[in-house]
Amino acid sequence: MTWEQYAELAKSLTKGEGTEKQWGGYYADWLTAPLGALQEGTTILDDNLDPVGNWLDYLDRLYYKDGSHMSYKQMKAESIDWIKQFESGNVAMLINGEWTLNMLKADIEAGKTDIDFDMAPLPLPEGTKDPITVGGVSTFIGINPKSEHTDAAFKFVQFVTGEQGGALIAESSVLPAYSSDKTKEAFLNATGIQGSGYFFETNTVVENQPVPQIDEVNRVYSEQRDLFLFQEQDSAAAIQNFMKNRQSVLNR
Amino acid sequence: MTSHRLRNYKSYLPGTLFILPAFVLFAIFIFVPLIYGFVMSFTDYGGFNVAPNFIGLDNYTKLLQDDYFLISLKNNFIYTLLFVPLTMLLALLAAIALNHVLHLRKYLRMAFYFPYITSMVSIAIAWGLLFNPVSGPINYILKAVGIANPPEWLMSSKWALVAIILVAVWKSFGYYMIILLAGIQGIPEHLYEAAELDGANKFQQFLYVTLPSLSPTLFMVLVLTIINSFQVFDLVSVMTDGGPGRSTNVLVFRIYQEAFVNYRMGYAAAMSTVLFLIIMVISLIQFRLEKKWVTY
Repeated sequence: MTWEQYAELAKSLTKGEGTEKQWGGYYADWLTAPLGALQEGTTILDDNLDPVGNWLDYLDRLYYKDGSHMSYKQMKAESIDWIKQFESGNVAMLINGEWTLNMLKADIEAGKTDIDFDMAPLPLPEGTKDPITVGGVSTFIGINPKSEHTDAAFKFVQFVTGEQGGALIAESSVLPAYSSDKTKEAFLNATGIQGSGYFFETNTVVENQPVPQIDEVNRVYSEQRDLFLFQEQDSAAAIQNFMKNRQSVLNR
Repeated sequence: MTSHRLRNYKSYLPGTLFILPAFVLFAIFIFVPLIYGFVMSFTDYGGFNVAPNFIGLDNYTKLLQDDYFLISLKNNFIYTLLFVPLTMLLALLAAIALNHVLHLRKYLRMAFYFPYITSMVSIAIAWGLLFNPVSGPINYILKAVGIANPPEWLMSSKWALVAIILVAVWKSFGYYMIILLAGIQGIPEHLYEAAELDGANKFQQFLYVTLPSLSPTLFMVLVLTIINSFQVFDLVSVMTDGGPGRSTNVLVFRIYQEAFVNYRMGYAAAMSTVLFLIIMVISLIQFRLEKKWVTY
Protein backbone atom coordinates (compact mmCIF):
# COMPACT_ATOMS: atom_id res chain seq x y z
CA MET A 1 0.00 0.00 0.00
CA THR A 2 1.33 3.46 -0.77
CA TRP A 3 0.95 6.48 1.50
CA GLU A 4 -1.44 7.89 -1.07
CA GLN A 5 -3.62 4.79 -0.82
CA TYR A 6 -3.42 4.90 2.96
CA ALA A 7 -4.66 8.47 3.01
CA GLU A 8 -7.55 7.64 0.70
CA LEU A 9 -8.47 4.57 2.75
CA ALA A 10 -8.37 6.54 5.98
CA LYS A 11 -10.60 9.19 4.49
CA SER A 12 -13.15 6.64 3.41
CA LEU A 13 -13.14 5.05 6.87
CA THR A 14 -13.81 8.31 8.69
CA LYS A 15 -17.40 8.74 9.70
CA GLY A 16 -19.63 10.01 12.43
CA GLU A 17 -19.53 13.10 14.59
CA GLY A 18 -18.95 13.92 18.22
CA THR A 19 -18.93 10.90 20.51
CA GLU A 20 -19.78 8.59 17.63
CA LYS A 21 -16.84 9.74 15.59
CA GLN A 22 -14.67 7.09 14.03
CA TRP A 23 -11.31 8.26 12.73
CA GLY A 24 -9.90 6.55 9.65
CA GLY A 25 -6.45 6.64 11.13
CA TYR A 26 -4.45 7.87 14.09
CA TYR A 27 -1.01 9.38 13.69
CA ALA A 28 0.37 10.18 17.13
CA ASP A 29 1.78 13.66 17.75
CA TRP A 30 5.02 12.26 19.14
CA LEU A 31 5.90 10.43 15.91
CA THR A 32 8.31 13.13 14.84
CA ALA A 33 10.43 11.15 12.39
CA PRO A 34 9.55 11.91 8.76
CA LEU A 35 8.64 8.33 7.85
CA GLY A 36 8.02 8.80 4.15
CA ALA A 37 11.25 10.73 3.66
CA LEU A 38 13.25 8.15 5.63
CA GLN A 39 11.84 5.36 3.51
CA GLU A 40 13.03 7.24 0.44
CA GLY A 41 16.52 7.45 1.92
CA THR A 42 16.48 11.06 3.09
CA THR A 43 17.30 11.93 6.67
CA ILE A 44 16.96 15.25 8.47
CA LEU A 45 20.72 15.63 8.23
CA ASP A 46 20.72 15.79 4.42
CA ASP A 47 21.22 18.89 2.33
CA ASN A 48 18.21 18.33 0.12
CA LEU A 49 15.20 18.24 2.40
CA ASP A 50 12.49 18.22 -0.28
CA PRO A 51 11.21 14.77 0.73
CA VAL A 52 10.91 16.02 4.32
CA GLY A 53 8.95 19.04 3.12
CA ASN A 54 6.70 16.77 1.11
CA TRP A 55 6.18 14.60 4.17
CA LEU A 56 5.17 17.65 6.21
CA ASP A 57 2.60 18.54 3.55
CA TYR A 58 1.35 14.97 3.66
CA LEU A 59 0.83 15.24 7.43
CA ASP A 60 -1.04 18.49 6.90
CA ARG A 61 -3.31 16.55 4.57
CA LEU A 62 -3.95 13.78 7.10
CA TYR A 63 -4.52 16.09 10.04
CA TYR A 64 -6.37 18.98 8.52
CA LYS A 65 -7.33 18.79 4.86
CA ASP A 66 -8.79 15.27 4.78
CA GLY A 67 -9.87 15.28 8.39
CA SER A 68 -9.22 11.56 8.51
CA HIS A 69 -6.90 11.73 11.51
CA MET A 70 -7.38 13.56 14.78
CA SER A 71 -5.80 16.95 14.23
CA TYR A 72 -2.39 17.74 15.66
CA LYS A 73 -3.80 20.65 17.64
CA GLN A 74 -6.41 18.48 19.26
CA MET A 75 -3.95 15.74 20.18
CA LYS A 76 -1.59 18.27 21.75
CA ALA A 77 -4.26 20.33 23.47
CA GLU A 78 -5.96 17.37 25.06
CA SER A 79 -2.89 15.19 25.70
CA ILE A 80 -4.69 12.30 24.09
CA ASP A 81 -3.63 8.82 25.10
CA TRP A 82 -3.00 7.23 21.71
CA ILE A 83 -3.50 3.65 22.75
CA LYS A 84 -6.78 4.32 24.52
CA GLN A 85 -8.08 5.88 21.31
CA PHE A 86 -7.31 2.72 19.40
CA GLU A 87 -8.61 0.42 22.11
CA SER A 88 -11.88 2.24 22.38
CA GLY A 89 -12.63 1.37 18.79
CA ASN A 90 -12.67 5.00 17.68
CA VAL A 91 -9.77 4.52 15.30
CA ALA A 92 -9.70 2.26 12.27
CA MET A 93 -5.95 2.26 11.54
CA LEU A 94 -3.06 3.03 13.87
CA ILE A 95 0.48 3.78 12.71
CA ASN A 96 2.96 2.81 15.37
CA GLY A 97 5.90 0.67 16.39
CA GLU A 98 6.07 -3.03 17.10
CA TRP A 99 5.87 -2.56 20.87
CA THR A 100 2.21 -1.68 20.35
CA LEU A 101 1.63 -5.38 19.85
CA ASN A 102 2.73 -6.20 23.39
CA MET A 103 0.82 -3.31 24.89
CA LEU A 104 -2.39 -4.30 23.15
CA LYS A 105 -2.02 -7.93 24.09
CA ALA A 106 -1.37 -7.04 27.71
CA ASP A 107 -4.41 -4.79 27.78
CA ILE A 108 -6.59 -7.45 26.18
CA GLU A 109 -5.45 -10.00 28.74
CA ALA A 110 -6.09 -7.56 31.53
CA GLY A 111 -9.56 -7.10 30.20
CA LYS A 112 -9.22 -3.40 29.45
CA THR A 113 -10.32 -3.84 25.85
CA ASP A 114 -11.69 -6.50 23.53
CA ILE A 115 -10.76 -5.16 20.12
CA ASP A 116 -9.88 -7.43 17.28
CA PHE A 117 -6.78 -6.28 15.48
CA ASP A 118 -4.22 -7.36 12.92
CA MET A 119 -1.06 -5.84 11.50
CA ALA A 120 0.10 -4.71 8.10
CA PRO A 121 3.40 -3.37 6.84
CA LEU A 122 4.00 0.38 6.81
CA PRO A 123 2.72 2.16 3.69
CA LEU A 124 5.42 2.95 1.16
CA PRO A 125 6.25 5.98 -0.95
CA GLU A 126 5.29 5.89 -4.61
CA GLY A 127 7.63 3.77 -6.66
CA THR A 128 9.19 1.83 -3.80
CA LYS A 129 8.96 -1.88 -4.49
CA ASP A 130 10.47 -3.64 -1.48
CA PRO A 131 8.84 -3.23 1.88
CA ILE A 132 10.85 -0.88 4.07
CA THR A 133 10.10 0.30 7.53
CA VAL A 134 11.57 2.80 9.93
CA GLY A 135 13.18 1.56 13.08
CA GLY A 136 15.19 2.81 15.97
CA VAL A 137 17.76 0.84 17.85
CA SER A 138 16.39 0.69 21.34
CA THR A 139 17.86 -2.07 23.41
CA PHE A 140 21.57 -2.47 23.93
CA ILE A 141 23.68 -4.92 25.84
CA GLY A 142 27.18 -4.13 26.98
CA ILE A 143 30.01 -5.58 29.04
CA ASN A 144 31.62 -3.56 31.80
CA PRO A 145 35.37 -3.60 31.10
CA LYS A 146 36.05 -3.67 34.84
CA SER A 147 34.10 -6.88 35.44
CA GLU A 148 35.86 -10.05 36.56
CA HIS A 149 34.10 -12.38 34.15
CA THR A 150 34.32 -10.64 30.80
CA ASP A 151 34.68 -13.95 28.94
CA ALA A 152 31.54 -15.39 30.44
CA ALA A 153 29.75 -12.14 29.84
CA PHE A 154 30.76 -12.23 26.19
CA LYS A 155 29.43 -15.76 25.85
CA PHE A 156 26.15 -14.57 27.30
CA VAL A 157 26.02 -11.64 24.89
CA GLN A 158 26.62 -14.04 22.00
CA PHE A 159 23.76 -16.20 23.25
CA VAL A 160 21.29 -13.38 23.73
CA THR A 161 22.01 -11.80 20.36
CA GLY A 162 22.09 -15.13 18.55
CA GLU A 163 19.28 -17.25 17.15
CA GLN A 164 18.54 -19.16 20.34
CA GLY A 165 18.32 -16.04 22.45
CA GLY A 166 16.25 -14.38 19.77
CA ALA A 167 13.78 -17.26 19.80
CA LEU A 168 13.46 -17.04 23.56
CA ILE A 169 12.85 -13.29 23.36
CA ALA A 170 10.28 -13.88 20.63
CA GLU A 171 8.39 -16.29 22.86
CA SER A 172 7.55 -13.30 25.08
CA SER A 173 6.03 -11.47 22.10
CA VAL A 174 8.99 -9.11 21.96
CA LEU A 175 10.47 -8.53 18.52
CA PRO A 176 13.96 -10.04 18.53
CA ALA A 177 16.92 -8.45 16.79
CA TYR A 178 17.90 -11.75 15.21
CA SER A 179 15.76 -12.39 12.16
CA SER A 180 15.40 -15.97 10.99
CA ASP A 181 12.74 -18.59 10.29
CA LYS A 182 13.07 -19.99 13.79
CA THR A 183 12.65 -16.65 15.56
CA LYS A 184 9.84 -15.69 13.21
CA GLU A 185 8.00 -18.90 14.01
CA ALA A 186 8.49 -18.40 17.75
CA PHE A 187 7.21 -14.85 17.45
CA LEU A 188 4.13 -15.84 15.46
CA ASN A 189 3.31 -18.58 17.93
CA ALA A 190 3.64 -16.19 20.81
CA THR A 191 1.62 -13.35 19.40
CA GLY A 192 -1.02 -15.33 17.57
CA ILE A 193 -1.40 -12.46 15.11
CA GLN A 194 -0.77 -13.46 11.52
CA GLY A 195 0.29 -10.00 10.44
CA SER A 196 3.13 -9.86 12.95
CA GLY A 197 5.22 -11.95 10.60
CA TYR A 198 5.64 -8.86 8.42
CA PHE A 199 8.32 -7.55 10.77
CA PHE A 200 10.66 -10.24 9.54
CA GLU A 201 10.12 -9.52 5.87
CA THR A 202 11.03 -5.87 5.58
CA ASN A 203 14.21 -3.84 5.47
CA THR A 204 14.66 -1.33 8.23
CA VAL A 205 16.02 2.18 7.85
CA VAL A 206 17.36 3.83 10.97
CA GLU A 207 15.20 6.52 12.49
CA ASN A 208 17.94 8.46 14.30
CA GLN A 209 21.30 8.80 12.65
CA PRO A 210 24.20 8.09 15.01
CA VAL A 211 25.78 11.53 15.18
CA PRO A 212 26.48 13.13 18.56
CA GLN A 213 24.16 16.08 18.07
CA ILE A 214 21.20 14.06 16.80
CA ASP A 215 19.17 14.87 19.91
CA GLU A 216 19.55 18.59 19.36
CA VAL A 217 18.90 18.35 15.63
CA ASN A 218 15.78 16.35 16.41
CA ARG A 219 14.67 18.99 18.84
CA VAL A 220 15.07 21.91 16.44
CA TYR A 221 13.36 19.87 13.72
CA SER A 222 10.49 19.15 16.06
CA GLU A 223 10.19 22.85 16.95
CA GLN A 224 9.73 23.83 13.31
CA ARG A 225 7.47 20.87 12.71
CA ASP A 226 5.34 22.02 15.64
CA LEU A 227 5.01 25.51 14.20
CA PHE A 228 4.04 24.00 10.86
CA LEU A 229 1.50 21.60 12.36
CA PHE A 230 0.03 24.43 14.41
CA GLN A 231 -0.48 26.07 11.03
CA GLU A 232 1.73 29.06 11.78
CA GLN A 233 4.10 28.63 8.85
CA ASP A 234 4.14 26.68 5.60
CA SER A 235 6.40 23.71 4.94
CA ALA A 236 8.91 25.73 2.91
CA ALA A 237 9.44 28.17 5.79
CA ALA A 238 9.62 25.29 8.24
CA ILE A 239 12.35 23.55 6.25
CA GLN A 240 14.26 26.79 5.78
CA ASN A 241 14.18 27.69 9.47
CA PHE A 242 15.11 24.15 10.34
CA MET A 243 18.15 24.23 8.09
CA LYS A 244 19.29 27.49 9.66
CA ASN A 245 18.89 26.16 13.20
CA ARG A 246 20.45 22.85 12.28
CA GLN A 247 23.52 24.64 11.01
CA SER A 248 24.05 26.45 14.30
CA VAL A 249 23.59 23.19 16.20
CA LEU A 250 26.12 21.32 14.05
CA ASN A 251 28.54 24.23 14.27
CA ARG A 252 28.89 23.99 18.02
CA MET B 1 41.93 50.54 71.96
CA THR B 2 42.61 46.87 72.77
CA SER B 3 40.34 46.72 75.78
CA HIS B 4 37.58 48.40 73.73
CA ARG B 5 37.81 45.69 71.10
CA LEU B 6 37.86 42.92 73.69
CA ARG B 7 34.70 44.25 75.25
CA ASN B 8 32.98 44.41 71.85
CA TYR B 9 34.10 40.90 70.94
CA LYS B 10 32.35 39.49 74.01
CA SER B 11 29.11 41.27 73.16
CA TYR B 12 29.12 39.97 69.60
CA LEU B 13 29.65 36.36 70.66
CA PRO B 14 26.07 35.28 71.55
CA GLY B 15 24.70 36.89 68.38
CA THR B 16 27.26 35.16 66.21
CA LEU B 17 26.60 31.79 67.80
CA PHE B 18 22.88 32.18 67.16
CA ILE B 19 23.24 32.81 63.47
CA LEU B 20 26.06 30.31 63.00
CA PRO B 21 23.85 27.25 62.17
CA ALA B 22 21.86 29.17 59.58
CA PHE B 23 25.01 30.65 58.15
CA VAL B 24 26.71 27.26 57.88
CA LEU B 25 23.70 25.87 56.00
CA PHE B 26 23.70 28.91 53.76
CA ALA B 27 27.39 28.51 53.07
CA ILE B 28 27.12 24.80 52.24
CA PHE B 29 23.96 24.83 50.16
CA ILE B 30 24.07 28.22 48.52
CA PHE B 31 27.45 29.85 48.67
CA VAL B 32 29.65 26.86 47.84
CA PRO B 33 27.55 25.69 44.84
CA LEU B 34 27.53 29.28 43.59
CA ILE B 35 31.32 29.45 43.57
CA TYR B 36 31.54 25.92 42.16
CA GLY B 37 29.17 26.79 39.34
CA PHE B 38 31.10 29.94 38.59
CA VAL B 39 34.33 27.98 38.29
CA MET B 40 32.57 25.33 36.19
CA SER B 41 31.53 27.99 33.71
CA PHE B 42 35.15 28.28 32.60
CA THR B 43 35.36 24.57 31.76
CA ASP B 44 33.78 22.17 29.30
CA TYR B 45 32.39 19.89 31.97
CA GLY B 46 29.92 17.47 30.41
CA GLY B 47 28.28 16.00 33.47
CA PHE B 48 30.05 12.66 33.28
CA ASN B 49 33.10 11.43 35.08
CA VAL B 50 35.43 12.85 32.46
CA ALA B 51 37.88 15.41 33.75
CA PRO B 52 36.80 18.87 32.61
CA ASN B 53 39.19 21.06 30.66
CA PHE B 54 39.74 24.68 31.44
CA ILE B 55 38.63 26.65 28.38
CA GLY B 56 38.69 30.19 29.66
CA LEU B 57 36.05 32.55 28.34
CA ASP B 58 35.01 30.29 25.43
CA ASN B 59 31.63 29.53 26.95
CA TYR B 60 30.88 33.21 27.36
CA THR B 61 31.84 34.15 23.80
CA LYS B 62 29.73 31.28 22.50
CA LEU B 63 26.83 32.54 24.59
CA LEU B 64 26.76 35.91 22.91
CA GLN B 65 26.41 34.27 19.50
CA ASP B 66 23.97 31.55 20.51
CA ASP B 67 20.66 32.54 18.97
CA TYR B 68 18.81 29.99 21.10
CA PHE B 69 20.15 31.62 24.27
CA LEU B 70 19.36 35.11 23.01
CA ILE B 71 15.80 34.06 22.20
CA SER B 72 15.35 32.65 25.70
CA LEU B 73 16.74 35.89 27.13
CA LYS B 74 14.31 37.94 25.05
CA ASN B 75 11.40 35.74 26.09
CA ASN B 76 12.34 36.14 29.72
CA PHE B 77 12.46 39.92 29.43
CA ILE B 78 9.00 39.97 27.86
CA TYR B 79 7.84 37.70 30.64
CA THR B 80 9.26 40.02 33.29
CA LEU B 81 7.80 43.14 31.68
CA LEU B 82 4.32 41.64 31.78
CA PHE B 83 4.48 39.55 34.94
CA VAL B 84 5.82 42.18 37.35
CA PRO B 85 3.29 45.01 36.78
CA LEU B 86 0.35 42.62 36.56
CA THR B 87 1.25 40.83 39.76
CA MET B 88 1.96 43.99 41.70
CA LEU B 89 -1.22 45.66 40.51
CA LEU B 90 -3.38 42.66 41.32
CA ALA B 91 -1.70 42.19 44.70
CA LEU B 92 -2.15 45.87 45.56
CA LEU B 93 -5.81 45.95 44.54
CA ALA B 94 -6.52 42.77 46.44
CA ALA B 95 -4.72 44.10 49.52
CA ILE B 96 -6.67 47.36 49.45
CA ALA B 97 -9.94 45.53 48.93
CA LEU B 98 -9.19 43.12 51.75
CA ASN B 99 -8.28 46.01 54.00
CA HIS B 100 -11.77 47.43 53.66
CA VAL B 101 -13.60 44.15 54.12
CA LEU B 102 -13.86 43.11 57.72
CA HIS B 103 -16.06 40.05 57.89
CA LEU B 104 -14.86 37.90 55.04
CA ARG B 105 -11.27 38.96 55.32
CA LYS B 106 -9.89 35.71 56.71
CA TYR B 107 -11.60 33.53 54.13
CA LEU B 108 -10.81 35.78 51.19
CA ARG B 109 -7.22 35.98 52.30
CA MET B 110 -7.05 32.18 52.34
CA ALA B 111 -8.76 31.98 48.96
CA PHE B 112 -6.34 34.40 47.33
CA TYR B 113 -3.33 32.78 48.96
CA PHE B 114 -4.41 29.28 48.05
CA PRO B 115 -2.99 29.19 44.51
CA TYR B 116 0.41 30.13 45.86
CA ILE B 117 0.63 27.01 48.00
CA THR B 118 -0.86 24.68 45.41
CA SER B 119 1.40 22.36 43.48
CA MET B 120 2.68 23.98 40.31
CA VAL B 121 2.21 20.81 38.30
CA SER B 122 -1.48 20.42 39.09
CA ILE B 123 -2.03 24.10 38.36
CA ALA B 124 -0.26 23.77 35.02
CA ILE B 125 -2.32 20.75 34.02
CA ALA B 126 -5.61 22.28 35.12
CA TRP B 127 -4.97 25.58 33.36
CA GLY B 128 -3.79 23.70 30.28
CA LEU B 129 -7.27 22.20 30.07
CA LEU B 130 -8.89 25.58 30.64
CA PHE B 131 -6.85 27.09 27.83
CA ASN B 132 -7.85 24.40 25.32
CA PRO B 133 -8.53 26.48 22.21
CA VAL B 134 -11.39 24.34 20.93
CA SER B 135 -13.20 22.88 23.90
CA GLY B 136 -11.85 24.91 26.83
CA PRO B 137 -14.04 27.20 28.95
CA ILE B 138 -11.91 30.31 28.41
CA ASN B 139 -12.39 30.39 24.66
CA TYR B 140 -15.99 29.32 25.11
CA ILE B 141 -16.62 32.44 27.18
CA LEU B 142 -14.64 34.63 24.77
CA LYS B 143 -16.70 33.38 21.86
CA ALA B 144 -19.89 33.89 23.83
CA VAL B 145 -19.10 37.57 24.38
CA GLY B 146 -18.56 38.00 20.67
CA ILE B 147 -14.85 37.49 20.03
CA ALA B 148 -15.04 35.43 16.88
CA ASN B 149 -11.44 34.18 16.73
CA PRO B 150 -10.13 33.87 20.25
CA PRO B 151 -6.40 33.27 20.60
CA GLU B 152 -5.24 29.70 20.48
CA TRP B 153 -3.31 30.11 23.71
CA LEU B 154 -0.87 27.25 24.21
CA MET B 155 -1.21 26.18 20.58
CA SER B 156 -0.04 29.54 19.27
CA SER B 157 3.50 30.85 19.40
CA LYS B 158 2.14 34.37 19.86
CA TRP B 159 -0.09 33.68 22.83
CA ALA B 160 1.58 30.82 24.67
CA LEU B 161 3.82 33.12 26.70
CA VAL B 162 0.85 35.30 27.60
CA ALA B 163 -1.06 32.26 28.81
CA ILE B 164 1.86 31.23 31.00
CA ILE B 165 2.17 34.76 32.40
CA LEU B 166 -1.53 34.77 33.28
CA VAL B 167 -1.22 31.52 35.17
CA ALA B 168 1.91 32.71 36.94
CA VAL B 169 0.25 35.97 37.99
CA TRP B 170 -2.79 34.08 39.26
CA LYS B 171 -0.56 31.80 41.26
CA SER B 172 1.75 34.37 42.80
CA PHE B 173 -0.32 37.44 43.55
CA GLY B 174 -1.68 35.98 46.81
CA TYR B 175 1.74 35.89 48.37
CA TYR B 176 2.50 39.54 47.58
CA MET B 177 -1.02 40.53 48.58
CA ILE B 178 -0.35 39.25 52.08
CA ILE B 179 2.84 41.31 52.28
CA LEU B 180 1.11 44.45 51.01
CA LEU B 181 -1.85 43.89 53.31
CA ALA B 182 0.45 43.81 56.28
CA GLY B 183 2.05 46.98 54.98
CA ILE B 184 -1.28 48.75 54.61
CA GLN B 185 -2.41 47.70 58.05
CA GLY B 186 0.77 49.14 59.44
CA ILE B 187 0.01 52.65 58.25
CA PRO B 188 -0.89 54.74 61.32
CA GLU B 189 -4.45 56.03 61.43
CA HIS B 190 -3.46 59.55 62.38
CA LEU B 191 -1.95 60.12 58.93
CA TYR B 192 -5.35 59.54 57.36
CA GLU B 193 -7.04 61.71 59.92
CA ALA B 194 -4.61 64.53 59.28
CA ALA B 195 -5.15 64.20 55.53
CA GLU B 196 -8.91 64.30 55.96
CA LEU B 197 -8.64 67.38 58.10
CA ASP B 198 -6.67 68.97 55.30
CA GLY B 199 -9.57 68.24 52.96
CA ALA B 200 -8.28 65.25 51.02
CA ASN B 201 -10.80 62.86 49.47
CA LYS B 202 -10.42 59.08 49.44
CA PHE B 203 -8.47 58.97 46.23
CA GLN B 204 -6.11 61.73 47.30
CA GLN B 205 -5.62 59.98 50.59
CA PHE B 206 -4.64 56.89 48.69
CA LEU B 207 -2.16 58.78 46.52
CA TYR B 208 -0.54 60.89 49.20
CA VAL B 209 -0.83 58.75 52.34
CA THR B 210 -1.19 55.09 51.41
CA LEU B 211 1.23 54.87 48.54
CA PRO B 212 4.15 56.72 50.09
CA SER B 213 3.74 54.85 53.38
CA LEU B 214 3.58 51.64 51.41
CA SER B 215 6.60 52.43 49.26
CA PRO B 216 9.13 50.38 51.25
CA THR B 217 6.85 47.36 51.00
CA LEU B 218 6.20 48.04 47.34
CA PHE B 219 9.91 48.25 46.78
CA MET B 220 10.45 44.87 48.37
CA VAL B 221 7.62 43.34 46.35
CA LEU B 222 9.10 44.81 43.18
CA VAL B 223 12.51 43.31 43.86
CA LEU B 224 10.99 39.94 44.74
CA THR B 225 8.74 39.76 41.69
CA ILE B 226 11.54 40.63 39.33
CA ILE B 227 13.85 38.02 40.81
CA ASN B 228 11.00 35.51 40.70
CA SER B 229 10.23 36.22 37.08
CA PHE B 230 13.73 35.18 36.08
CA GLN B 231 13.34 31.85 37.81
CA VAL B 232 10.21 30.48 36.14
CA PHE B 233 10.79 26.92 35.00
CA ASP B 234 8.26 24.37 36.21
CA LEU B 235 5.28 26.16 34.70
CA VAL B 236 6.92 26.26 31.29
CA SER B 237 8.12 22.70 31.54
CA VAL B 238 4.69 21.25 32.25
CA MET B 239 2.52 23.53 30.15
CA THR B 240 4.44 23.94 26.91
CA ASP B 241 7.90 22.37 27.12
CA GLY B 242 9.32 25.57 25.66
CA GLY B 243 7.04 25.53 22.64
CA PRO B 244 5.40 26.06 20.27
CA GLY B 245 8.69 26.51 18.50
CA ARG B 246 10.78 28.49 20.99
CA SER B 247 8.16 31.00 22.04
CA THR B 248 8.03 30.03 25.71
CA ASN B 249 11.63 29.00 26.09
CA VAL B 250 12.77 31.12 29.03
CA LEU B 251 16.20 31.49 30.58
CA VAL B 252 16.12 28.85 33.32
CA PHE B 253 14.41 26.44 30.96
CA ARG B 254 17.23 26.89 28.46
CA ILE B 255 19.82 26.41 31.21
CA TYR B 256 18.07 23.18 32.16
CA GLN B 257 18.11 22.00 28.54
CA GLU B 258 21.78 22.73 28.07
CA ALA B 259 22.76 21.16 31.39
CA PHE B 260 20.56 18.08 31.63
CA VAL B 261 19.43 17.35 28.08
CA ASN B 262 22.52 18.33 26.10
CA TYR B 263 24.97 17.55 28.93
CA ARG B 264 26.87 20.79 28.49
CA MET B 265 27.14 21.69 32.14
CA GLY B 266 30.01 24.14 31.76
CA TYR B 267 28.04 26.05 29.16
CA ALA B 268 24.94 26.00 31.30
CA ALA B 269 26.97 27.24 34.25
CA ALA B 270 28.07 30.19 32.11
CA MET B 271 24.42 30.91 31.34
CA SER B 272 23.61 30.74 35.04
CA THR B 273 26.36 33.23 35.77
CA VAL B 274 24.90 35.58 33.17
CA LEU B 275 21.50 35.16 34.83
CA PHE B 276 23.05 35.96 38.18
CA LEU B 277 24.69 39.10 36.76
CA ILE B 278 21.45 40.27 35.16
CA ILE B 279 19.54 39.91 38.40
CA MET B 280 22.32 41.60 40.33
CA VAL B 281 22.48 44.57 37.94
CA ILE B 282 18.71 45.01 38.04
CA SER B 283 18.69 44.82 41.82
CA LEU B 284 21.54 47.33 42.09
CA ILE B 285 19.66 49.75 39.83
CA GLN B 286 16.61 49.32 41.99
CA PHE B 287 18.50 49.99 45.19
CA ARG B 288 19.94 53.13 43.64
CA LEU B 289 16.47 54.32 42.66
CA GLU B 290 15.19 53.44 46.10
CA LYS B 291 16.51 56.68 47.46
CA LYS B 292 14.46 58.53 44.88
CA TRP B 293 10.99 57.12 45.36
CA VAL B 294 10.86 55.18 48.61
CA THR B 295 9.87 57.25 51.60
CA TYR B 296 10.34 56.02 55.10
